[in-house]
Amino acid sequence: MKIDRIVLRHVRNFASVELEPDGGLNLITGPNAAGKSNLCEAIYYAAKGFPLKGERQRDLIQWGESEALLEFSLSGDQIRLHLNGHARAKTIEVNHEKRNQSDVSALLRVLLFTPDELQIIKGSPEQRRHFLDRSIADLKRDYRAMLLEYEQLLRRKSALLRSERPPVELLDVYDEALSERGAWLVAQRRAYVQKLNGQLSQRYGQICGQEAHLQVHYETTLGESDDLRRELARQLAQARREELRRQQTLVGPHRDDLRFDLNGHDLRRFGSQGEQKSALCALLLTQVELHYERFGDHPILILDDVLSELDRARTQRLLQLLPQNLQIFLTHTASAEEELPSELRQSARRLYVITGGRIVQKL
Amino acid sequence: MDKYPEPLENLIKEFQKLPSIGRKTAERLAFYLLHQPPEELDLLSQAITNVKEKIRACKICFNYTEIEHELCEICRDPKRDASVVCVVSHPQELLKLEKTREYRGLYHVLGGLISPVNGVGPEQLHIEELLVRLRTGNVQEVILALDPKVEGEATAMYLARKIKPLGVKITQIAHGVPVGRDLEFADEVTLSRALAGRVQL
Repeated sequence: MKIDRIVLRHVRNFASVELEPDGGLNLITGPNAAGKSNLCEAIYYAAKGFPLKGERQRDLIQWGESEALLEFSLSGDQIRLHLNGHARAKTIEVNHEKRNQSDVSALLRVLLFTPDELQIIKGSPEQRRHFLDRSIADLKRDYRAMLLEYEQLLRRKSALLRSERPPVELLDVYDEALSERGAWLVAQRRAYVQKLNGQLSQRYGQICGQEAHLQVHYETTLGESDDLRRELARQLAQARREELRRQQTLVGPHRDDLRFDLNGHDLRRFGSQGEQKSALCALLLTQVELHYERFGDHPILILDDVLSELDRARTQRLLQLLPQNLQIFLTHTASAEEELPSELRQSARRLYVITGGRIVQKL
Repeated sequence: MDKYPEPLENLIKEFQKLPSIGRKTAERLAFYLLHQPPEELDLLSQAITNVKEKIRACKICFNYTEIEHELCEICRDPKRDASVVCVVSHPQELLKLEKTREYRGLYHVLGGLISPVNGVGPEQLHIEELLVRLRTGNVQEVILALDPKVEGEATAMYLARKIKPLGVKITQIAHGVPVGRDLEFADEVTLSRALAGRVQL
């Protein structure tokens, strides 16, 4: 998969931008706050249908403007998104026909890596769940809808638990609905973690140049149960009294966590910075591979400002290990071209310098 | 002058209270009425007064009916099949179902859906009345026609739990692919529901 051409009008700080990226490594550079990430965000938004980090759609439109236009050409297909700030509306066209977001998401598949990703290992369980959900949703299109329903049910049950004397039968109803969705989500997560584990050690070894055993453990209260739905229903029933006291749902996939084990040690607690970073690279390589296995085609990879987190040598190693025919957008902060790491410059097939809302192609 | 004269301003404010009406639409409606002959305006204000005064809920099914009747048109009709009751959340959905002319049974209007977030529990809806109806009448089947969303589903599951012990057959309308649309444009969730609810040919 390859974006042949990008046109942005009134998107973030870009009044008007047109570029024809290469099918390999596209290096995007510029000083701080020049708008490097805005380019990544535009691609991400088109692919997913929602902006990064809980921003509103309105925020994508250039300040002072009421409309924005995003166009992408990929191997014969034309994607066109038109945002109207006043109407808070979005028009989506594929090959000049009106379509919806899921049609665009099927055509434009994006894998994103930002410095936040280091939080997958170091951060909170919530951040790890978020990573897990995002990764699965990339591969399985109905995952997000199911997760959304599960979360809606949770909110309703919480409201019920907070109300005065909630009816038992109604709590039973929500628990039944939650066990059905919850079990499905847990099964998907379990299967995904299993797929990760099939490759992680090998990828980690490639990054560090030495043999290692890297595994992800999926920590769920449901354990190894075969009948997940029944087990979740049983645990919910058991937790009922405590849930009424604490007014929240205490068991289910919304309490799951992941643990990364390197050679039998918890990477979060005992791993060095370097080991954590290498594990992250291994995770990224595995994700790219799983994507390929699922779709028979590579995703578009966005590496937004990862050099600061991963350091030069590791990034270089990562770029060497990534497939040759993978389109990458890599941003790196540098106020002058000469400041760019030389090996990065050498591997780049295109170099874009962004300053003051303009993009200049240097290579 | 930054405001219209008070009577006009009042009318605009009243329109703005209506759902999906903003300031601009409210102004347009107000100016439209200002240019209508008085007889037309009388008809409108009469209609607004009557809607509350001359309408009541049916004693059996809670559908709307004229004030002089205790029962709605459907419950009064001896030709309707009294052994089947279709449960809907609002009278608007009842009317939609009626327009199909496919259904000849009776209805029961719940008056909403169970929604703990909005403080709506089973006791705020006409659920107890439905159960009394099923216990005392000769109803053989209850058809649930509720929104296929979280609220509708929870309400349906709750009703199923309450109705099953009464020995009345309980069914749910099919959820699936919209008729007249290409299958390839159906979303995954709808398609998987449609698959789960497939029927034998």
